[in-house]
Amino acid sequence: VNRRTSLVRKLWELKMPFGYNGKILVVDLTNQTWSLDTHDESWYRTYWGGGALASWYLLNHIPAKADPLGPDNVLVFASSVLCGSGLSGFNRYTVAAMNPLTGGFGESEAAGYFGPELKHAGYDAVVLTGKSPSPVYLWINNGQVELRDATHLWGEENAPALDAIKDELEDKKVRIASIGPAGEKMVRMACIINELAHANGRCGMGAVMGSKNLKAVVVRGDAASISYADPEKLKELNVWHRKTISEHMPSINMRKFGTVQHLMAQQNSGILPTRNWSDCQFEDAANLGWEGYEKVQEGTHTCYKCSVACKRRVNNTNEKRYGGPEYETLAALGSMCGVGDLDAVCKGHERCNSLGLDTVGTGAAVAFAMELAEKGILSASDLGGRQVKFGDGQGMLELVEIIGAREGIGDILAQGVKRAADAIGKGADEYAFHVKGQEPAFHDPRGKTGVGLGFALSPTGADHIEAPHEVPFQGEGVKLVNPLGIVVAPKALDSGPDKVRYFIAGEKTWAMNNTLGLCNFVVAPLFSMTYDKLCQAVEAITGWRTSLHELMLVAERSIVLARMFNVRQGMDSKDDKLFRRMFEPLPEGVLKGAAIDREEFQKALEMYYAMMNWDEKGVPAKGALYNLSLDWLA
Amino acid sequence: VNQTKRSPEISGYFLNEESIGIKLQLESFLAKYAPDNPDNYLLPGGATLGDLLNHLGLGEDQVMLAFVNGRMATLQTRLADKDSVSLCPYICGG
Repeated sequence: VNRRTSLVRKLWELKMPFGYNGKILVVDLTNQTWSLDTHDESWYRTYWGGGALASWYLLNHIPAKADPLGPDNVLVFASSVLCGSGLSGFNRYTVAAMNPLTGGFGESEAAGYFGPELKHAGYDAVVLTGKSPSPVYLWINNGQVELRDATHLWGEENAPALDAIKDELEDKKVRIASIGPAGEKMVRMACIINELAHANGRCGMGAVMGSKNLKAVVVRGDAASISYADPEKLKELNVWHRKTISEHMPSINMRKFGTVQHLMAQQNSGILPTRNWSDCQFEDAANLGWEGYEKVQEGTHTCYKCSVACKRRVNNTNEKRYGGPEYETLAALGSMCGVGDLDAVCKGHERCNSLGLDTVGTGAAVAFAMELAEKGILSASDLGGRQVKFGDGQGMLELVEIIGAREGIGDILAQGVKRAADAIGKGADEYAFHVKGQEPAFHDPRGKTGVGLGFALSPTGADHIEAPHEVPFQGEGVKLVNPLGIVVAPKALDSGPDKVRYFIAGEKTWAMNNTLGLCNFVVAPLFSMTYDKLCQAVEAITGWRTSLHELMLVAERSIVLARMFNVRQGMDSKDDKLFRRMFEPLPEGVLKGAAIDREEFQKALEMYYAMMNWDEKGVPAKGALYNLSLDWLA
Repeated sequence: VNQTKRSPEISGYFLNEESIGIKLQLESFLAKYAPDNPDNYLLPGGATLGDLLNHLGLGEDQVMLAFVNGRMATLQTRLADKDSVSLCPYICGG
């Protein structure tokens, strides 16, 4: 295999592309073999990276009837043509597979250091098929590939596993994306985490990795192995970008406060998801927001060559490398569970990262169990002897442990709230909030209807980062979305054509980020990298003269590819819906009484399908597929 | 001078002869911090956007975007008479 690898490498070196390797590693875990996939420049310029590149593999390699936790599922780690080029925020990668929560498309992005290192190690993506007969980890060292025994690591939590691998390879600088015991046990909300603090959290990607007996993917490369079309221009853009970040108010705020600032913003807006969505105001919010957080923060950290540095570290946990909770986790294990004790929330965050659990899905499952206890559907004995109700920080921590271990009620909750409600019965489904089987993150569409469209339409099941939330684009803020063709400020509570137009433009910009491997916290409309400069960066990196028009087409292609995966799985417009509480009035706060209007929301969905050239069942029309060069799906 | 909503931290401020009047627009939940005289809100000459937030009793963590005369500003942006200032919160996630 090595001889073949080096021959292919030599051939490719003759026409080395700029910005990317032109090589994708395909690993057959069942037979413990691997091969190289090469594609021409037009393929790369069609799929670029991230979710789009991954979708191509999922659609071509996963049989429609596959079990998401069986050997037929395919797990893809995809960087992009831009990832690792050294600009702030150009460092994200996607993990994608069939989603074990929904049976449909699954993808989750993370930053940190793994994506750039994978590319520098010689591959734009890794595609993992089959199931290893015993636990292994994949070791990619400057193009060389090895599957190594991981029997001794199976059962280890993330930090000891990471340390053991670094010791074993005698290299502290390898970058590791790993699963904890939760992934090994196929907890459906298990995550993959790189360097302990950067999670591919959503969509149960850790469970898929566990189902393949794959403990970790370990990469080591050389940044100099990638050539750029115009290194001088890239350097100039980097200088400009760093200076802009240092002067740009949203970036400065992100560096100072991270996403912690959103907690009080949600509270003040009357839409902080609290006690399993039964409330929208949390009396202890200030403990979890910046006022409380500042007391436990002991520094910040960042991702590959990013000068924003939005990540936090805290002083009240044992293993500092797991970092501090971000907004979603503060809400998941805090307000959603009625827990105002920041120490308990930080501890819960640490335990989730150590066990390899998505904090969003886990917090939602804990909050669901707490509400069932409040309603008398789960008894103390069902809950292992403790009557875990809202506000019980210790109880929250205990539930996190048994979900990770799949013990007792934890085994039922580990299936996600949809399956758990089916297993529990007694009307538990009244309190199980999800879309397509995936629990939403903590943003209430009753205060920003675009988030409701995102929850309903996201191909992954409820997702809060489908499109930039419309709140900042009021008043003068609309100027930020003018380059996307949006001239009317998208009103937060509107569901008419202006909102749908805004949502589609916003959805494309964030799909573009996911495809190109860019962080939403560095790119327009809200952040420092303007669309003009982004197009210049693409040209400096790849040599491709591009435009926002082309990038929007790439983005739409990625949206449609994921949608087509779901269509193949039998999903359609009937699955694009919101959960019960979104149609009930907010009980208090400044938006008291606000609710999503069912009829208006349905009309907005229909308008979305029409604007996207999808039919009334939400299936992309042939014209849309041809227009996006997806002839093979038409 | 009919000035409202002055926070205690800046109670030492006084409006001097170089005082400026700005037009203020507060979006979304920031509206509750709006003064009674948003069309001609008075500040001492030389005030910056950061001073304005102090004056309104708004924490830095509550304002994500600020525009002065339609251009994105920072806390250090110096304000001038007749400037139009718009403040927006940011409620996303991550």
